[in-house]
Amino acid sequence: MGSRGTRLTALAVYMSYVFNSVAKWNLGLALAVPLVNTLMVVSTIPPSLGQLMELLVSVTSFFYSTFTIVAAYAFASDLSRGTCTVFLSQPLTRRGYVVTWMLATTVVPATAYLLSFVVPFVVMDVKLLASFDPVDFLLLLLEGISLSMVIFLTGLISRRPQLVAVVGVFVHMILFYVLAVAYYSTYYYNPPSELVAFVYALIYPFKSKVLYPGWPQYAGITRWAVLANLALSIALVTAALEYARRIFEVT
Amino acid sequence: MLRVVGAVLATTGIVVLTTLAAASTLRAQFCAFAGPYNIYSFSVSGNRTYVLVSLVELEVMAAEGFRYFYRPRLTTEDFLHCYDPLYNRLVTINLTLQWGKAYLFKLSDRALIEPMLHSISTLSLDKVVEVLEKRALAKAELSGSQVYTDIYGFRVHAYEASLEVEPGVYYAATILAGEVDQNCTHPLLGSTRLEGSVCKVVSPTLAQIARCLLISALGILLLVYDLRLEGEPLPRWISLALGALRRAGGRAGLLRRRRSTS
Repeated sequence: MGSRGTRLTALAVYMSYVFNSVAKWNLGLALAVPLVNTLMVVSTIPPSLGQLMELLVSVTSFFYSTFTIVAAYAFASDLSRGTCTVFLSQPLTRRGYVVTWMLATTVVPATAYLLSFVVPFVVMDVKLLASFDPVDFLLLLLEGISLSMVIFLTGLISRRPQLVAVVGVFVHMILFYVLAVAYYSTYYYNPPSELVAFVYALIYPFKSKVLYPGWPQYAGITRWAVLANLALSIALVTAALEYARRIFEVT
Repeated sequence: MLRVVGAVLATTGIVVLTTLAAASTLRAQFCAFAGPYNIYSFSVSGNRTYVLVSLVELEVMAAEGFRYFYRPRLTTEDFLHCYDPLYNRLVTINLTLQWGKAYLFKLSDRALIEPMLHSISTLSLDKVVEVLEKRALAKAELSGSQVYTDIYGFRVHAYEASLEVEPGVYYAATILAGEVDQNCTHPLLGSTRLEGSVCKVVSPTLAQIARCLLISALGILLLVYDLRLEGEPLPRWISLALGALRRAGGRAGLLRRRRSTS
């Protein structure tokens, strides 16, 4: 029990260290997103309120993506520099170490983003929140966590911060546009191909629902894609934990 | 995790408050284009047709602290197809009204509109106000004078005003009234476009300011609690603020004790 208590204390101390190390980015997110949201709500004219969320997310998700990439970069840097060895020489398990960074790169940005998103509306007019579909928020979280986990796993396995940055930019910014082009290239005259619709909704469940509402006949496909994304997220988390337990070696 | 939530709440509250205050201080007006709008026509008498061109009721967001102003910048395109007797052909008139004057009120009441047409036809602005206020819909404010355009015998009159339906809530509508002579037809729908710009002026209410402060205070409390829990030193600005609060509390207690003993 004593040893377990020591381990938990060590984990709490380490978490505090990790959260502090990404704190300035967290604050950056909390500065930028509410500022943009408030300005946009203030300057939005009533008829376009229905599309407010699309508008806000399309602008502010950039800050969120940047934060997740930076956090994963910090994690990979920690691994590549060998800072982790200092902490892992303390009673901190490898799994605890990975979980802490996983929280810092996935849950912390998602929480910070969600709060930065919701608080301006709570302040300005709570009724505005009612115009948003709660499912949208869930999909936003799901998308954020699954993409963050891909970047995190890249950092965990490769231990190369540069690769993390490249994968992060690719997943968050380039792939999104590539799929959007593929989506629209078949969209103009005919419904987009089922495969493109599925892949799009699998990787970007939120964006595919809000920014590019699919064709009605693809509602089923989208539902399956969202479930597949959930499964993928769980698989990625499990893979990271198993990797930490079995393979992860500190050199 | 608590400190993350605390820091975000504290920062967000302050940012929202600052942004709202800045927008209010600068008296910034945010404008956007709106339109096209609904178009109605009424045949009033004989060979003169009175065309009520635009009927707009802004979807007013009744959020506290927001006020909407409708600032018409009206343009009409392909407004009328008129028969031109000189060249014996159908002529499409492109009519443009810039910063036309319109009156604003809740125009869903057709019974209100019809007497208005007579008022407009006589171009009596006072009459318009009288009709509006008689109907007691709300306090009507009309501003400006009419714009007058005369092309191929077509006359347009438009007005601008505002109507405060309830405190802080404005309804807006734009109306153009035109007289069309017998040589003209008015296909109207589909061929007429009216555009305006809707402007919003922000003025944060006390409730909003209070909510911002409350959220920030909650965030700081969470932050302090988490730091204390972890046994970490508080940031300097929080220590200073807490010290100031303590000193203020101490002084207030001292004053109270002095008053009670005297």
